[in-house]
Amino acid sequence: MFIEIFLFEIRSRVRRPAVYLYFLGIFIFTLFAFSTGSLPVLEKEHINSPFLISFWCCAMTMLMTLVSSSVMGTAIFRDIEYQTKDYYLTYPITKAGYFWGRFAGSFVFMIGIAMAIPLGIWLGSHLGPAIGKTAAAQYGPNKPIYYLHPLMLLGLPNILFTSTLFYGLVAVLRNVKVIYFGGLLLFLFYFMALFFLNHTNNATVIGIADPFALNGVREQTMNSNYLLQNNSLIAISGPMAINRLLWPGIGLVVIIITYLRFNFETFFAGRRDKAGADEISERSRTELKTPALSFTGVYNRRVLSSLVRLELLNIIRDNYFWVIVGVGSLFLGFVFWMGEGNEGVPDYPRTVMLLSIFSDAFPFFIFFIILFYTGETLQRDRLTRYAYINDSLPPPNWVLNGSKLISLLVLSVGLSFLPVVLGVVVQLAKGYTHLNWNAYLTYLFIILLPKFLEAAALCYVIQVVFNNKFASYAIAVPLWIGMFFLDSTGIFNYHLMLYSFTPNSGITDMDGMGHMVTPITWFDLYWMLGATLLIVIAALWYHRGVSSSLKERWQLVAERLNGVTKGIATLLLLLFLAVGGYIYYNISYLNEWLTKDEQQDRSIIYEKALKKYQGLPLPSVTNIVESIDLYPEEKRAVVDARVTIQNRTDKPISEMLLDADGLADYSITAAGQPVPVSYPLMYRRGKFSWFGPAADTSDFRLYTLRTPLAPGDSAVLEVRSVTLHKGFTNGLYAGNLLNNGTFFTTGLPGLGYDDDDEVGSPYVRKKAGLPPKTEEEIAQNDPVGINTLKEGAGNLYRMEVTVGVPGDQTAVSHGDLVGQWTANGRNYFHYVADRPGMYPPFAVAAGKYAEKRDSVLVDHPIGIEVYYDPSQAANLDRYIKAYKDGLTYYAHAYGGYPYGSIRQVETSNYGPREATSTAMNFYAEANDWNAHFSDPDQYDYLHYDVTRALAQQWWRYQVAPNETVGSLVLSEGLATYDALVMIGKKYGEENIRPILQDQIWPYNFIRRRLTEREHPLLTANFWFEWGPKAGVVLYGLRDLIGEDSINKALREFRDTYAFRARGPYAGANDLYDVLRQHVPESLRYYLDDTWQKVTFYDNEIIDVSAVKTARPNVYAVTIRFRIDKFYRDEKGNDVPAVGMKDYIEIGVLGADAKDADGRTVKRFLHRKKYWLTQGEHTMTVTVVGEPKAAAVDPLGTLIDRNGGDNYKGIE
Amino acid sequence: MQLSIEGLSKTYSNGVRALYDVNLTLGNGMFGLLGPNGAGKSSLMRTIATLQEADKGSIVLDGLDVLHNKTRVRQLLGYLPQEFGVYPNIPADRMLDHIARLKGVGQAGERRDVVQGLLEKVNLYKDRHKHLGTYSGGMKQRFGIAQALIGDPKLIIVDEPTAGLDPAERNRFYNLLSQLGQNTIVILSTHIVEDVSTLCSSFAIICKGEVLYAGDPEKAVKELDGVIFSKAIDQADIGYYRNIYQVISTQLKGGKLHIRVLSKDARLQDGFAPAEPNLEDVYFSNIATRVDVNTL
Repeated sequence: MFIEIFLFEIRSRVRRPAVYLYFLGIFIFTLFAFSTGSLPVLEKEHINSPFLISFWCCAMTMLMTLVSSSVMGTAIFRDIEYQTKDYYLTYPITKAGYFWGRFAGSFVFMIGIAMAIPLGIWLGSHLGPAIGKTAAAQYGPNKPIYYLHPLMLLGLPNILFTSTLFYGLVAVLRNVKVIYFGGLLLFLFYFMALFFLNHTNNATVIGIADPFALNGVREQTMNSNYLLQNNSLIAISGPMAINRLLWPGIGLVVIIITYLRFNFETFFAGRRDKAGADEISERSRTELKTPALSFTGVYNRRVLSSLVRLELLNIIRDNYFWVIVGVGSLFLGFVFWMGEGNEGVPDYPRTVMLLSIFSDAFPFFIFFIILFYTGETLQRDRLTRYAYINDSLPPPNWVLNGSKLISLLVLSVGLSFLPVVLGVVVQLAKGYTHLNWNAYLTYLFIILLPKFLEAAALCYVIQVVFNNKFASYAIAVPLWIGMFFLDSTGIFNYHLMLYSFTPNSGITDMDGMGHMVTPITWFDLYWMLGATLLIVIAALWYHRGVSSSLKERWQLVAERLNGVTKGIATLLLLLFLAVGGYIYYNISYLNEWLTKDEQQDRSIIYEKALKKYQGLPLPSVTNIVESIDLYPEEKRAVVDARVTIQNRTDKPISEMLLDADGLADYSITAAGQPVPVSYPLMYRRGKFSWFGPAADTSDFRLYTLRTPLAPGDSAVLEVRSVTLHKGFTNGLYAGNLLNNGTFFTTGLPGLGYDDDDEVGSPYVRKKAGLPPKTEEEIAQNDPVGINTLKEGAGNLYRMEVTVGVPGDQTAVSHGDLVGQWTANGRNYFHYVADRPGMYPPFAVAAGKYAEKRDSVLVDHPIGIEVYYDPSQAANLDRYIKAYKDGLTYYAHAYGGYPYGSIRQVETSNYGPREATSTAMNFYAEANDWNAHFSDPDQYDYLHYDVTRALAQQWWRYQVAPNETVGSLVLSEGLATYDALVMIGKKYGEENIRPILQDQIWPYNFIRRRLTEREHPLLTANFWFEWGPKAGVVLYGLRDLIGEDSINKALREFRDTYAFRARGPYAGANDLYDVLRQHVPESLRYYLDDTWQKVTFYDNEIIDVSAVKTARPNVYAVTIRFRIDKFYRDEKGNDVPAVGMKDYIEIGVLGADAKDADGRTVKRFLHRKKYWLTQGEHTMTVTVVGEPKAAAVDPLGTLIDRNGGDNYKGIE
Repeated sequence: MQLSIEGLSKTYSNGVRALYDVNLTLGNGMFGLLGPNGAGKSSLMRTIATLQEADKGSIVLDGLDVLHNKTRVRQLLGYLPQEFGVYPNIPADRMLDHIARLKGVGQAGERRDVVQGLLEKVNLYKDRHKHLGTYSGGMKQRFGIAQALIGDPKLIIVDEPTAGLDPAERNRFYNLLSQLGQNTIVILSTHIVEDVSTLCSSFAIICKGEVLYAGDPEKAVKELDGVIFSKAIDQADIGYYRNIYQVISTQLKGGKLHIRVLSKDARLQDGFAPAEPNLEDVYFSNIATRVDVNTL
């Protein structure tokens, strides 16, 4: 019986085109991805690495959820749908045979479809090199196990999970809708998992919670190097193993329970609540009255509204609709409620934040709802066979057709209000009343509403033309996902050709959507016209009556294409083309859009043509006096500068290569005479720029000085530049010149050849005939390296700038504000940075700022100025406090701060998230400003951030690091150290442990996965070394040698290197040398361990017990602990530190207490350092007060392999 | 009212010839369509009911081009499809009210009267508030009848309307149709030959898409006067009779096979007795020219 039904199922499936379409779709997508390398693959990672195959198996089988729903869901629903149920039951079939036969028959096809994945990968790995899209070296060997393992342990279990789930759901619920709603819910839960991924570090939870194991694979990929990824399989252990047992297991349990509960009679018969038996009732003899009929006047309008109401009722009465909208809303509400935050401190639920959360994944979700209800609405009549009646009723086509369209549009409009309603509810529920209605409405009307209406029109026309519910889904879903994929990966994002796509824009409190409203609205108009054209097509293809052939429908199209429809279509088409033409004029005539290949080609040409200028001696800029006139509303800036250059090289300078760097135009004169210029590089016009000249000058110019600048000589150049934006572009533009929130740099062209603009990929370089690129560490004795700033070209220079901004804006820049005036309704600010000058970078920020001022007296009064958006004033006092604390301490410890004030400026989200510069710090709107502190135990990370940034006023803008390896230990390491010192002072040193452990966590995490040899601090070459590790190590040094000693050392270091006008600049070795002089002989081991070697401890408390002594409240605490220390040698092996004897602290703690602010604090009963050797130790200390825990290295200043066992509670 | 169909042809995309050069003229009153399964009855009716396109030919209703003025035709039409579905979660009266509005009954009061009247006529008044999904087959069919009759249609097309109705309901429906048929065109398709003879003023037999006969049922029967003979034979002998005579129908009764043959020979020997012709004879004798009628 099983075999019969199984074979029948297979035979009936073989004839269905859908399964082949699914197979083909997955196959082509996979083939494309793996033959072109359009995958998240880094340089040395193989495109067909087992890790990537695993990733792809998970991702594809996740997308195949839709396939399983249609294949597995229909397996037994077919008997209900085709009403074979009425006789099927009478056959002598067994329940097991029927249930498992149908299941197995369909599941075989699911496996078959999934085979498209390995096949596509395998073929892609051969096709790619063959067609020249990729290089053969980008692929590794195609070992069978690399395919089998992911398929058997990831792909097929995923399919088993979704298949059993959908099959079971339909068998229980006897409803086909459940399958796609099930799919949608799964999709939703999936995003929930992703959401948690972004909000928790708990890899175990994420790894287990993801039914498709995609996150587990991602996690393993992120934590492994290319060798591992290329040569080993995804490890199925730990959370991954649990996951692989759990989800397919759940699937199996579901289907077994379903089978046990499955009952033929109930499944086939369904509800039997028919109306009562027929009775002949007394019948009326009345003649039927003839009603008045009218098909004119209000008839169409009334019928239309009646039909719309009916259609909407049909949607609203559907329980599934409410389930899906309800669950979606709950989830969205939950996500809104969680919001964003840092360090466990939530941000205020600002409107723009909620909208940005929403736009992550939810528009996709809503698209699916629209898609499904388009199918339901359009195919309901046909599927219930009511169409035979309905379609012969009098309303004209446009009424019947229009009523469905209008209902869907109404649905789309309704759904687009979802984020607004939920957002407002969440905000109010949280007591947050600063609702940004402007942001809500802009987002709603400019982004969401057009998108959904266009989506509805697209789904609608697909349903009408293909006239088959599932086939239409199968067309619309890949289409929508495909477009999203093309746009978001940048493979092809020419928005004129991606239906419903517009330039991207964020929304900020400072600027709303700003100037991007205009281009987006143009694109909206363009695509809305496109949508109406689709509707015209739908109207032509709209079909009434029984299913019919293409021929008949074509006959109808021809018939309907009469004068009126032709006229309308032509008019719409003309409008569409006109708007498209205008957009084209903007994005591809006034501006240029380049494909990814074109951009790459330009980088190649750049390098080939200009590399020879790399060796040109560069002049040093010593003084800039300039005026910057900002016209943010016009996206225009005019700069007029006098730049003093000096030849500090030993060769004469006659040529300078300049890069416009985004300037629209500029001119250079010397003593009133134009400097002769040539254009060494021309670019061919972009593929989409059909009307411009065939080739045009690039951003690069070669200036030849009339008289070469001899070594030691200076010259003054007058530079005038203009920044402006003609029209708009295909994407975001002028992100630095917002209506409110400008972040402007010098407005001067860049000097010299920049090898950062070269192509990086070794494969592309090889193909283009470019030599391989090597990134070399610059040795600490390299003469060029020590004389070059880490910032790159540049040196200490005097800067004087006058900035003009509109009357309602304030401009902020470096140094001292020496003048401020108003003229012609514009504000002017004159800043001078000459004490004695400044190191790059330079920036001007401007906006409609509110200001908070305070000051602190150090050696001179220092103003503290915070420029902020008036709506984001929540944490100003925290900022001011942090600046006061920091300025006071740093100036006292390391020597003075040269300027009269320090400024903190809020910038838009398009600029840097967090940046420092001379006398000025920047924080983006989305960063820090909106933290909502409510609990004294919350970590004041604002204090940390500010004191860290402020420390760079000493360790970057006074002592500027050179370009040699490890030099960032100065700017990043010392700044981190200083911030830790400040937080230690704020919260008490005893409470520093969790903060230090937080710092060291990324170091401990990443170092285990490094492929290269780990460097000691002296030559730190990774961010987690020069930043967090250096900070902790320096903190440990301070703990050992004392605050005074280290401050003395650092002050000496600063005095030696501050404000050097020319090299040599300071490197990590210079800091080390100074520190070494201040570390006593006995403690030098620590300095050597951290700076010269890679060292870690493995200390542990083995056992601890406390006994009450005879004296009241006095305890004897016996601690048994182990001390262990290792060095990592050149080969990467751990070598025990033989003969060690280190000065390590042992502590006993009492119960936690509360400080004056209500914050939980640690209370030490005993804290003392001991000289300890390697191995086990036992010591007994007497303490006053009840002991609760003992700890070795209680502050966590030592780099410990496992810090978790350094503490032990006392029973 | 007059409906004339000329040269109507339709071939489906799978090659099946549904209608071939159909020519018919219908006046007021009931018109019956007879034909075997798949003869093209439903195709013809759907084409008249504007649900399907024709390849060739024309249909004209009182000067109105049916194939190209669908909206106008639909305003005059009452159509009961052979098979149809309903929205399961809507009560019958609400659904009829909706359809009445679509059929141009603009006044709410009138709509209520019409719906109530029809519900009474089809004997569903008692169950009018029940959801259509709970209706039995016969009730659903009566609902279909009711919706077809809304709005005083001038052209009523009912495709096998009595399927699923009990004899009493069937009679009642035919009476209702007869009343309406006095000043409307009613096109009725059925397999029950007897229905046509009792109800219809004219009829047509179609088979394989072609009209084989069209006319008045009484006349048609009269035309067979004296050429129908019957005989009871042994079942085993049927082959013999088929070879010699034009056997138009057979019926097994009490172990003997009663056959009817058509013969121009008024004095047929071989034990045959002259028989009173009926419409069934007309039907079988006509379709036997196209298909092999074997009722055994």
